Amino acid sequence: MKRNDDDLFDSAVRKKLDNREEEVPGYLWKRIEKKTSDRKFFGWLSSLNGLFFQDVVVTVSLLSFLGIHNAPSVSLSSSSVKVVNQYKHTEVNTNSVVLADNNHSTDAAVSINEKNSDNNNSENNSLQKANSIPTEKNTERINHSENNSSVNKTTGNTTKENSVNTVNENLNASILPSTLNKKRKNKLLSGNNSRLDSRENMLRAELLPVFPFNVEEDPDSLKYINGDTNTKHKFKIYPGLRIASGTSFIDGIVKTSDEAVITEDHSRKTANGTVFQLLFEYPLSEKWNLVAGVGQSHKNYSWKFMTTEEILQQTIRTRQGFIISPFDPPVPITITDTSYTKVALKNTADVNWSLQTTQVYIMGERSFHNRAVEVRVDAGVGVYLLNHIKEEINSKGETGNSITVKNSYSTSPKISALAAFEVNRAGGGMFQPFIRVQAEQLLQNQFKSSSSILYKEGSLSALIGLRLRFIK
Amino acid sequence: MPARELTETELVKLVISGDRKAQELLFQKYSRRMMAVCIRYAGNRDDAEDVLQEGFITVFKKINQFKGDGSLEGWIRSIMIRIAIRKWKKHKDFINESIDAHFDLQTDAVTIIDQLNARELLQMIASLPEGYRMVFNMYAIDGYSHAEIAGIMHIQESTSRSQLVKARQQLQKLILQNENTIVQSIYKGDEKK
Repeated sequence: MKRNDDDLFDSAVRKKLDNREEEVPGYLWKRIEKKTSDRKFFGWLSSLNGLFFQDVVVTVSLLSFLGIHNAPSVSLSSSSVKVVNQYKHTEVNTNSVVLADNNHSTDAAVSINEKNSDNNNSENNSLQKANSIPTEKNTERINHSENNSSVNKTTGNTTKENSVNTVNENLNASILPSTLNKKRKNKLLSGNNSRLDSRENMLRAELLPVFPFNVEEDPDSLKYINGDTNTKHKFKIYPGLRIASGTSFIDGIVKTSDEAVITEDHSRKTANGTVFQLLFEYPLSEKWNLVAGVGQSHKNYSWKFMTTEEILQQTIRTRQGFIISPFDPPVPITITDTSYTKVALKNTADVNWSLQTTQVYIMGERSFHNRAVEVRVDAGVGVYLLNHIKEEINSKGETGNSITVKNSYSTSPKISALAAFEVNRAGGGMFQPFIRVQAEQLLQNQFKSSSSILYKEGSLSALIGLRLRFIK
Repeated sequence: MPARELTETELVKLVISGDRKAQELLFQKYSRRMMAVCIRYAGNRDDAEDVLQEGFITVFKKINQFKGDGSLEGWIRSIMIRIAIRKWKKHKDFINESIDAHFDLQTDAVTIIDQLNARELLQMIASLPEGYRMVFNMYAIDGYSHAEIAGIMHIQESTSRSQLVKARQQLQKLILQNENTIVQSIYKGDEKK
């Protein structure tokens, strides 16, 4: 009876509204006509979906982390940001992951050997120091990259078209073609991993644009007064730019239409200095935003500004290999978190890893299957968390067991958000998101409960920087 | 040659070939009806225009996928609906609600609908919470099943059902309220006299 009544009601509404017509304004056809003639443009733009919203932020996170140890020199002028230093490059090898620091050829490169990941002890996953002798390929890329980065990144006067061309040339020549080992790529792509497919799609350099990124810091605000509790940094923000998020050690961000003030709280500084990053969103259109970032270490007050181009280049590198640790700690660091020291220092006797910012948060207890696991963590967390998770998996990762990653900053969701990580398990050839938490949601949810597994594909604030794959 | 109206098949062929005139013809032929669909889903004219615009761009892009199994209008309509849903989903989440609450149908509402004009009814539908509106439009007017709605909107079938129940209840309430307002205004008019 009820059902009949419902049908009767629906039918009465339908009868009234079906086949109804409404006026259509004349300009709509003009718009459609224009849009359809610009399909080429929209084609590449739309194919960037996902890339911006995940990986650009990733790179920002990653690069700001770099800024701790080896801040590039950045000169600021009133109208532009000139990047004169060189970012680090990564080389992906079938069996190991090697970081080559092209700036300092005498510096160490870190190789994270994943061969022995099937061993139930992370000791075998050695972190090896090796001399960084640039290969021919490397050198070639360095040259290209140096060319890129010595260019004044004033983008305000650059047309989109020209910028796209510039990036195409740069990327085609320097990054894309050579770094992904073919054998490795095929192996990875054969694993029924749809995410890899989409990643592969995004490797298309011809789709990369360059957009204006105009942020400058007020030089006066760079003064650092010893003993001050707080230091304020002012940014002039150009119209259209807005702060997307700020993380870690930033106590306050004042948002106005044209200025952002960051207060750096020195009372919370650690032995390694503070690190923070700001993400700016540049609204390209009502649909598309671009994220760019600034990272800083108070230790030497060198700011790292990144143009979108650089961010995208880094993103491409990120996407190409399973690596990407910029982890190169030149500064002796006091280990403050002793609970995981053992894990963190394995095979790294000559390196004092930074632990004071190795935040991990409680993700609840979840079951693992100890077969093939992909772990992605934020770059700021680095090898430490990776090893920790790996050991957890190796020691407790049997089906039915659980892994608990503790949060060392439970009172600060902002900081904890940096430690967002993702663990996937592979079962029957299918990768399934196992744990995935993203910063944006963490900030919003403030760690509601340990059972909250938050998952959102394509979130703006996915902070995923370091990714390693180890398969038993 | 005497001018004659193109058949649907001819029109589709021309549109596939990228004929701009044919595209415009197609737009002129279906845009008014589709606009009504878009307004129903979007709830306001501005958003509806966006949906319509994106919808026709998609139509032109994908028209080679139109197999001719059903009507062209139905195919275009389904594109519009999907785009409206997609746009809405970008910024909204479903609130999962239990279907436990069972609502008595206000049978009077059915009678009153006849007395309403379409615009009034449309306004009432537009005032429904978005989730309700989407499901109600799809189920009650456009004839989608709950399974189809669940598939398109990436929700549970039970959610679709519960949203529909709530939508009906709220719409009926609005209709009855509207009726009461009219009756009251008539009485007030009588008193003045």
